[in-house]
This record gives sequence, C-alpha cells and structure tokens, in this order.
Amino acid sequence: MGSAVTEPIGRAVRTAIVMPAGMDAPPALLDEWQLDSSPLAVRRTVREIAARLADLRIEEALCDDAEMVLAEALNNIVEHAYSGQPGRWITVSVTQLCAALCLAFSDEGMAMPDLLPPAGRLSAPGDEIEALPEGGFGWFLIRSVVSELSYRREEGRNVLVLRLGGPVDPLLTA
Amino acid sequence: MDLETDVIGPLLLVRIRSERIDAACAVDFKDKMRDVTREPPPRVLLDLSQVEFLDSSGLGAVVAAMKALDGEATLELSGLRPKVEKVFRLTRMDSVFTIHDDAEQVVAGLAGAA
Repeated sequence: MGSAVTEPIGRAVRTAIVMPAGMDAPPALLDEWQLDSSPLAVRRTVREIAARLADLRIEEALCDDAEMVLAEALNNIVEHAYSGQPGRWITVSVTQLCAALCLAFSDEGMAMPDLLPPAGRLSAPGDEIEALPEGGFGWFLIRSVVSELSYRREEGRNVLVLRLGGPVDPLLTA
Repeated sequence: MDLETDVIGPLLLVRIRSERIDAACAVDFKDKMRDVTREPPPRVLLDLSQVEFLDSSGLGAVVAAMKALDGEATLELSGLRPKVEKVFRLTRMDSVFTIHDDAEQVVAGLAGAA
C-alpha cells in the first residue's frame, strides 16, 4: 500500500497532477528513460531528453527549464534518495500536455524527510563572501520554474511529478 | 573539465573549455580552479562563454572558487549563455559577481588603461 501525501499546509504536494483547464488534447507520453544512479548517467540522460525536446520544437524557454529541472531532480535522487551510491535505478518519463510538460521521476531510494519535497528557501546573498551558500540551490531552482509539483511514496518508491508550463498551481506560492 | 589560463597584467583569465559544469564535474572544476589560482593576481576572470549548461552543483563550485581566493583576488565572470545566466539570476548570485558580457572587452579595457 502506498502512503500518499495530500496537500500539507503551505506546500504544494498533491497525489496527482491536475490537468490544466482547457487542455483537452490527450497527453502524449514522449518516452521513458531508465538510468543508473550516477552523475554521469544523469548528465547523459539530461542531454538526451533535452535534445529530444528540441527536436520536437517545443518552445525553447520550456526546453531550457525542463533541462534545468531534470538535472536538479535527478541529482537530488542520486545524492539524497540513494546517498550517492551508484548502481541503483531511476526512471524518468516525459509527457507532453499541449503547451505543458510533465516530468515523472521514480526511484526506490530513501523517502524525502517527512514525506515532503524540500521548501528550497534561499535567503538573499549578503556582502559577506565567506557566508555565501555553496549548496541548497537545487530545490529552489526547481520550485522557481515548475507550475505544479507532486510527491508521493508508493510501495517503497518515491514518485515525483513536476509540471512545467500551463497555469501555475496556487499552492506552489502558498 | 578543461581549463585554459592566461595572465594579462593584473588579470588571470581562466577559460572553461567544457560545455557543462554539473554534478559530474563540479569537484574536478573546484580542484582545478584551486590549482590555477594558488597565487592569483588581483583580478581573476572566469570566462564561461563555452559553457552551455550549469546546474546547482556547478553554481556551488563557482561560489566555492570565489571563496577559495580568500580575499586575495576578486572573481569576475564573463560570457554567460542564457541557461547559465538564468541560474545566476534566479538564485540572485548575479548580484554577488561582477559579470561582463565578453572577456575580450575586459582584456581590451586593460590595454586601454595601461
């Protein structure tokens, strides 16, 4: 049995991505990729998916955001869900919904703490060079560009779905 | 991760000869930057004009490279391509670094000042 998480306070987490209104065309699954949990496999897969999206003449800004989000989400799975251990699997599927793209990630690594995707808050950089952060940008970047996000734990797997383009989910900015 | 360096008067120009600075090479990038900036002149200019993509690990590595200068030199950037520029802008790191459009202009400016 999956332990689904629904709409915790102030954070956009849903069990399923809601189809944006007015997008009546059936979603088209572009493809599914399976990769090893290593930074080089992440690089290869991100490049491959980005090239595929460019071939489909999807709007450049959307392709660029998708490339960024793919890299950040996959790096997080490698580093956190699998603690940097290679040799485990990750799948990514990419679905096109009219002008929007849905990226769905699955892995069998550790669950996100409290079953919630990180808030990804970033404080404005100050003048102190020594105090500048060198990490923690990943979830901030993801949340900056996605229009909807959902995470659930299902039969020992993490399922993360990110939507880019289309109307922005009000919960995201809650 | 390939770096090319040139010392031009008070400036160390470091050109990245790789298309991506990502999680697969961020540590290597940091190490190589540390090697080439051991005794830096007052200004270090990191030219990113060949870098097509930079992720959050790459951004962290650039910040780490600046910190490693330990106040002995400033780290400036040039040639940010659209995807790279967006990462700096979203994280507001564009306010931390002096960012030039083009490394050649900076070098030409040095010659003009001399």
